[in-house]
Amino acid sequence: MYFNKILIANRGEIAVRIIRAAREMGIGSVAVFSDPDKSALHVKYADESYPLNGISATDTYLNIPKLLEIAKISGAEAVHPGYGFLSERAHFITAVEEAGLVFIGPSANSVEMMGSKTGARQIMKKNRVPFVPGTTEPVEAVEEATAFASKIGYPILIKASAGGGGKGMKKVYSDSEMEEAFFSAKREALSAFGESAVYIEKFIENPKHIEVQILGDKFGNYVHVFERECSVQRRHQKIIEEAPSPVMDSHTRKKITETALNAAKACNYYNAGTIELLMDEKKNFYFLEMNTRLQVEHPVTELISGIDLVKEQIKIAAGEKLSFSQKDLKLTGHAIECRIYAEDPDNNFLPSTGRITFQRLPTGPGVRVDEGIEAGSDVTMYYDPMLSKVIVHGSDRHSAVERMKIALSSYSITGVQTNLSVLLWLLNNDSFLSGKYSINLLDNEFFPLVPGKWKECICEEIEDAATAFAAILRDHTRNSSNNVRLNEVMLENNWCNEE
Amino acid sequence: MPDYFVDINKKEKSVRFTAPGEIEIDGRLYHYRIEEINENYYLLRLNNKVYKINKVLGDKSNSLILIEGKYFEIEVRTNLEQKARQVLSNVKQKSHHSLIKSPMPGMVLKIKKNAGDEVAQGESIMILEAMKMENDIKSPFSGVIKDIYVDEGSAVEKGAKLFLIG
Repeated sequence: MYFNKILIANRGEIAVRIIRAAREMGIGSVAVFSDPDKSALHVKYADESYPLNGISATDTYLNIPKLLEIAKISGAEAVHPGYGFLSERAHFITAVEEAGLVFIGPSANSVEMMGSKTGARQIMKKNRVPFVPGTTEPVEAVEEATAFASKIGYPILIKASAGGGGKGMKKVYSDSEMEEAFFSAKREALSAFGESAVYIEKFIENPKHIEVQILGDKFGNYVHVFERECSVQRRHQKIIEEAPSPVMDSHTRKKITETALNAAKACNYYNAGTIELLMDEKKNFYFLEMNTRLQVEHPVTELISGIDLVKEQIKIAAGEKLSFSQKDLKLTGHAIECRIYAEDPDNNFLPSTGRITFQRLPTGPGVRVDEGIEAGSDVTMYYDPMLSKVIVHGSDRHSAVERMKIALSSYSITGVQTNLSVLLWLLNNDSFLSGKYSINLLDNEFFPLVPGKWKECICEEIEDAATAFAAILRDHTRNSSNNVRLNEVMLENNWCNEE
Repeated sequence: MPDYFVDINKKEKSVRFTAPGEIEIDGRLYHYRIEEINENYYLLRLNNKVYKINKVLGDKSNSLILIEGKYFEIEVRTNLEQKARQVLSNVKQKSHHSLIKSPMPGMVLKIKKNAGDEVAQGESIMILEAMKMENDIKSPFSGVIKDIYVDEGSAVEKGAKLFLIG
């Protein structure tokens, strides 16, 4: 037995995912919840749940004293942070350990070294890991930013030192845009990560986002679990991820995974971590940052490797040695993940909030859904609008893409609008299908067709079905004075036509 | 004479119920059967094809539906409503004003324009913070901002009036 009970300091699909892993290992789970989440799915899934009493993230999922108090009351022996929230806060790890608990993740020291993006760049420089040209220190003043930008040349990116997920990140093309972008990035950084430090990086044209999953135990053993490609992004937020990368060759894979392992070793890393890199069209790659936590897109790696990354995290935290070595790991088939967000594509992708009135998840061979909501769940403005992740595995990329199209087409969800139709558009896009897409895919090919035009390929047959449905419903409301269900009306009137 | 006019993703179609279980859409005749699984989920059989239909949002005349991963924004009008609309659109052409409402609850972080400013379609008017992201609120068309109803720093509900453009 690794632990008797663990506390999951998170919410949504990742909390559910961790609870599932714990349960399979015979470990009890303790969920925590904010006021809007009182009947959320992760609360129902867990063995025990405790209120954090509050609404804002600061009062709840970021509230370290409350979380530790609940850990104590519940008798949890370890804390899993998930992703986001406190997952990359070194002082949280220290607080957990000082409370006599085990943190399911890396050491505070590693997180500190890698958590500051500027600090990480200094370490990479020392260890000769290639990285994108830019500042190795936070930039304090807008004048300093402008001066540095003119030195390395526009376009540049302003990025949050403590950041991730596109929050606190702004692209700047000229001096005149600098001031607004600089302060906007600082504000976003402050509200998302609690600190406003930003740094500047040269912007690389048409790169791919490649990342390498690594695992390390507390005895200095390391493996990489291959690469993922996460180039399909909107506003630097990943939306489709796949493993392996469709353009990866064995030579580049060898180099890039070696680089990743070196980066992990440079900060004495243990537990699961991800080295993010940019790869240009000539397959030169640059260290971007290290995510010292479980990634949203970890399931694609699980499906091609057969490794349960969450279970490995728990075992490593409990002081186990890795039970396999690099040569035991085989890459099998191809996996794709699509993130389902509550948002309105034709309205500037603004979050769509409301109550989920109905949900029916896709199933079938090779289909996995990591869900964070169910019918009755409320999607609020307080947290990230990601609802679930659909992950498929196929024998090759083509079969995985086909499988994903079918899975997304059969996803039923009502009450909020989602990005399902955009995901399907992408899965039919020639650049995506060729595998030769870059992180600019949406900007170059999708956004010019917004609003509306990207929907024009929809065939007449399905439009007629939608039209018929709406007209039938309207006609039914108009002609029936009571609330008779539609099919019942038809039976009474004997409308059934036998074909 | 059609029974209904249906706007689907901004395209208009005319619909006639020709006989029980029979519908004509822009002259194409279909047999149909519909089954309500629950108030959000329906099975529609059109000739020999079965569609699983999600009613995502909506009231009796306006709805958002999801079929096979594709969203359709639909407005259904009766004959009378169609006539009323034609009359209204004539009036509308004279006074060309449009009220922009908040698409979600959030906080107004920054207002980039003043009343009286000219804006182009797609130009950013204000920044609304929600779900930890700063969202650009862009003008849906070119015109002059007649009025702004919110201040920087004010919290807004979904549907709150943001600005008037004309």
